[in-house]
Amino acid sequence: MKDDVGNKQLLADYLYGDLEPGDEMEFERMISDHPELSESYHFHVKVRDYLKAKIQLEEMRSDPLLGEAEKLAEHAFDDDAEASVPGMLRKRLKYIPAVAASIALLLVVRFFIPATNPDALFSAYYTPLSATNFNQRGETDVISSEFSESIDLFNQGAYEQSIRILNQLETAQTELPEVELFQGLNYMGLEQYGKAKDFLNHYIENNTRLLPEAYWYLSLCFLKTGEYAKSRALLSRLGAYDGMYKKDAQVLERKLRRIR
Amino acid sequence: MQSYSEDILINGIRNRDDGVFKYLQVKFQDGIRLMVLEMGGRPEDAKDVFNEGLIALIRLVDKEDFKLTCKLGTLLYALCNKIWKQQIEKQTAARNYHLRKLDTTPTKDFSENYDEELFKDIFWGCFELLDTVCKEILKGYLKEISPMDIAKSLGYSYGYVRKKKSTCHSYLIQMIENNPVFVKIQNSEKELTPVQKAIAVDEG
Repeated sequence: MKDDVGNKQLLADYLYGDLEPGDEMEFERMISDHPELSESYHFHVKVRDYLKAKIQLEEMRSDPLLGEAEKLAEHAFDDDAEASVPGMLRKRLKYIPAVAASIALLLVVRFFIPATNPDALFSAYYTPLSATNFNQRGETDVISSEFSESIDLFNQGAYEQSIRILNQLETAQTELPEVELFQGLNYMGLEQYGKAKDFLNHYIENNTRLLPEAYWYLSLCFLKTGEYAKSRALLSRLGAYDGMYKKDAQVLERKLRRIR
Repeated sequence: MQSYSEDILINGIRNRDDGVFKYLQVKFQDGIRLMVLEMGGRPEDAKDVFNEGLIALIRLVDKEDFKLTCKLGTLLYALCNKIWKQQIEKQTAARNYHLRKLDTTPTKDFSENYDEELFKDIFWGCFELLDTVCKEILKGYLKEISPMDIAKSLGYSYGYVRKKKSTCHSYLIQMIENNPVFVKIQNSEKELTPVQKAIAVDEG
């Protein structure tokens, strides 16, 4: 490991995206090999992320044209009566696939949810996967349409019905690896975490697609079943790579460290 | 991060361009989340407010007579601010109507929240104490402006900006770590024995 000054320089370069990809990987290895550096890194990330948000906010708040923006914003609520009907909003979203897909990607970054107890943490972090994208492939064969139907049911929270269809697809030995992933997610919805773990584990062992999703939900299963070390191991892997679960994984992993 | 002009963003919203929505998310979501948290909301509320803000923005941009007369980010902020204030009003009205509110949210560790608030004040306070050049360079990086553009706008070389950024960041962290309140909180955390921590977890 480099000296303290060298490490600080590296850390700042890494934080602000100034390292070359090869150096980035080397630094990530250093983080995973040196717990002290890892702890320091997470603190630096916390400071950076807060300042980033604060600067964004202050810039919007202090914009001289904020009054103008507020006037414009009033017009968005002109037809509020229509917008206040949740069903209509949902309908509107249904027909705006790009928006729905984008919103599905939006993260709940729970910086400030305290490490109270495992159940509270699970409740705070578990949201069923938003699977809008899976129904937009335009495939027309029977298997795809059945799979689509099962995803629709999953999205509606009809987990048992969704599982029934997925079981049929599994029996028919389809080439859809996501069947296993959604079986796991459905069992999570039913709070049957043992079965959920089996499916998700098997999916991870045999697939390369959608692994971040599988890691995230499997780590939550482990959290729920009290296997904190396993949960943390998965979260550490997720937290080391850029992606939609990165921030949540880092924060949750840090909170789990406090559970003995 | 790729940068978009306001016109491209507006067209992207009209055309439901996924890339534009992702850009809006990266560029503004953190600021909006902080606004909601600072106004007493929870992270879950912040997510909902941002989503509703985006929907309101789409509705607005889709109107035939829409003309952007301010920055798009400021407009999104104004929309989210209005949405959150409306929600607070509704919540207050509901509380007034039902004398006792049943709160089903997970129990929170208020001391930890209080510490977090203090931390945030310290982070920002120390940032404000940096000299102007440091602040401008770090601000540029935090706004995801390329180091080359930061260098151009400040009249420095690219190499100087990259090096100065590291020095400024290290100095900022040093100031935070030497802040007396920060030191006090850190020390009190260390004094907690594993048993006390376990009790705290159970009580949570």
